Amino acid sequence: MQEKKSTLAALSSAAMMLSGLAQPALANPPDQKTQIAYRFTNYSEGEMDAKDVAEGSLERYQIQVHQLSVKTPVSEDTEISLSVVNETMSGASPWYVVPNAEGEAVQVMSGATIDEARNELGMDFRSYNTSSETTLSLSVSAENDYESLAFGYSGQWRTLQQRGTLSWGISGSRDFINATDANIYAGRPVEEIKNRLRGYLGYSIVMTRNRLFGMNIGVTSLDGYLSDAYKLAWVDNEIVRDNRPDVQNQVGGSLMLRQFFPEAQAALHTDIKLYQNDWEVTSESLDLAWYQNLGSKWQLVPSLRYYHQSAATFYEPFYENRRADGFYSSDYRLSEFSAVSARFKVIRQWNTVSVNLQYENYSASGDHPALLSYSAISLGVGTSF
Amino acid sequence: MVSLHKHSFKAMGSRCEIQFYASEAAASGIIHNAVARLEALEAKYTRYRPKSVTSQINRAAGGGEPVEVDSETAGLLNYAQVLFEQSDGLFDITSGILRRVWNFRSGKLPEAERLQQLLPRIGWQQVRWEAPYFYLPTVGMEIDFGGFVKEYAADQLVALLKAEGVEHGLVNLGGDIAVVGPHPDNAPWQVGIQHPRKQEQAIARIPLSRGAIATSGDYERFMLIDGERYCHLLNPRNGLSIRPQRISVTVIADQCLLAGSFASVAMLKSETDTNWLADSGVHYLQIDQNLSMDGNLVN
Repeated sequence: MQEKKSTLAALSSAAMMLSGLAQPALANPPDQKTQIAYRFTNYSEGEMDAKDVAEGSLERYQIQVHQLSVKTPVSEDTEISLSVVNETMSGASPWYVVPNAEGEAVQVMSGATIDEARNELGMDFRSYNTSSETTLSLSVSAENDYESLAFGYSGQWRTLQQRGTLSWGISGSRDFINATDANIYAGRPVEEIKNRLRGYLGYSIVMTRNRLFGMNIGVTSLDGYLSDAYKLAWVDNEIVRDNRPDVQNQVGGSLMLRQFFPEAQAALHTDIKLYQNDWEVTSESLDLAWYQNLGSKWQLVPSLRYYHQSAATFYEPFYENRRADGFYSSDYRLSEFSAVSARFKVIRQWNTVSVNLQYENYSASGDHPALLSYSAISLGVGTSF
Repeated sequence: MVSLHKHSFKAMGSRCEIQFYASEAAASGIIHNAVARLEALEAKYTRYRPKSVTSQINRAAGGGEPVEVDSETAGLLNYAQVLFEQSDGLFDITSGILRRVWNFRSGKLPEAERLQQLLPRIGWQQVRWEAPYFYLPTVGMEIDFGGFVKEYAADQLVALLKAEGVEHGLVNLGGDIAVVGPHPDNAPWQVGIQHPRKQEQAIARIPLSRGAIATSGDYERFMLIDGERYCHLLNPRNGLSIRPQRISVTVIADQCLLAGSFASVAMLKSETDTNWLADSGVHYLQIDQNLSMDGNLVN
């Protein structure tokens, strides 16, 4: 009699293992499907406050982005993705900062309205099996004053019966900078080069049926022309070119937690990121997103992100005195600031078609007069078959 | 507005049906996902498609190279191993090749010589299984998940329906039934048990609010030769049709996979052990040759 009860125990435990293994949350199977996705995004940078602007337009960039991607299986264990991005922007951009009569920093904006376009072509080749995958990526991006070639090689290795995933990747790029109107503005860079090399390592683990934890660490090294080709700095009544060190090393890490709440049919995504570079910019960010399923067709995703960074060691809004090292940058992106971004996304799924609409509002605060605020609205359509 | 949705279709060689309560807007997506999941499982484990996991494993038999399997398949192979051990070798997923000599439509018994040739290629004890590597050591050996993949699929569909937010529903894959939850008013589903000797008739009705139910019987496929009944349940050791003392066994368990396994093993065992299910810890109803019922489901 005892022996028969043990049959139930033995079969139950084998069945339990089996149903646990086949949970959709655990599997990351290649789907052997063709996917086509298109997204349009309209960014609208907020107008400058008149009291912060010494000269030039108050209006900033309007950016329209079209993205199209196609993914299709090549063989049973490989797939190829192609993506095209077209970006057009117009408006004025912050040029340099001067002190006003009270000694406060005010922005000089670029004079003429700038119209620019950027096109990017990318290709990913992914090869996978049940326990690992690798992806080779190549991309090229071109605009009239900037070209970039990039490659990446990354992979994933699943362990612990698919519960753990080790991710790794290396990538690099070479950018070619040929500033426009270099014949008019003395000192604008031509034929400059910027190199980037990056590596990362991450590990994520399914802790319970409803909880996923992950961490990631990456290092990046930049060298070459790292200044902004168009920005200037005010140094003791003189205007000089933006000039930054020609090397930058970065290290960044992140932690993520995904918690699914079955009774609510919702998931909380929490991401914390820390970053530091050797220009002494450190940053921290916290991202919270709530993924709410409504039946099997609708998903609502409100999210909130907080970001803070410290200023680069050589940054000043304007310089009263010359620096011994000759480094000057009054770029608001190197100043100390905090930013809050609120997003709301709605996703509607049909059998093979998914449509999503996202609105984002971003606002930065700090001492620099040109700190950015923007709103972005984007509409995406995707299908897989 | 939540209402009852029923969808019938054919899969895994059986008539399948899902019934569930959901809004009109959600129902078609849920049906689509459920059918897609079932089709994916069928494509993965069928013997009939050359790219299925089963075909890959069978093709590699005797070739010297083990096959690396994914975690779901590893789970099924582990389950097959436990089933083999717990049934004292009567439930063996390598015994499917016996169908080559047993044709239940022919009205003829297999030739003894051909049967003898097959027997050395049967026996789970011969396989090499160290996850994730599986290997059949002899050319012509085969495995077949047909003995429990449909029950496993029923459990998977229940999990899928629950994940889609369904609380009240039922999955019926050719008589292997798994329940998501009772009707919204808490009334149980009424499950009919096939009469083992009268087609299309129920011999009993069993109310079921949760868990799963599966039945195994000698009536599914059989032939009568000289008044002797030869059923589709075969003994993997000698390749012969067993003579079950029970003609139908129904088991209720938390999972359809368990219910189906217990029903099958009880039928196989009943040749020598008519009461194998007693004290096994599952709810059951068994019918003997005189059509009398017993078990802990009747009173």
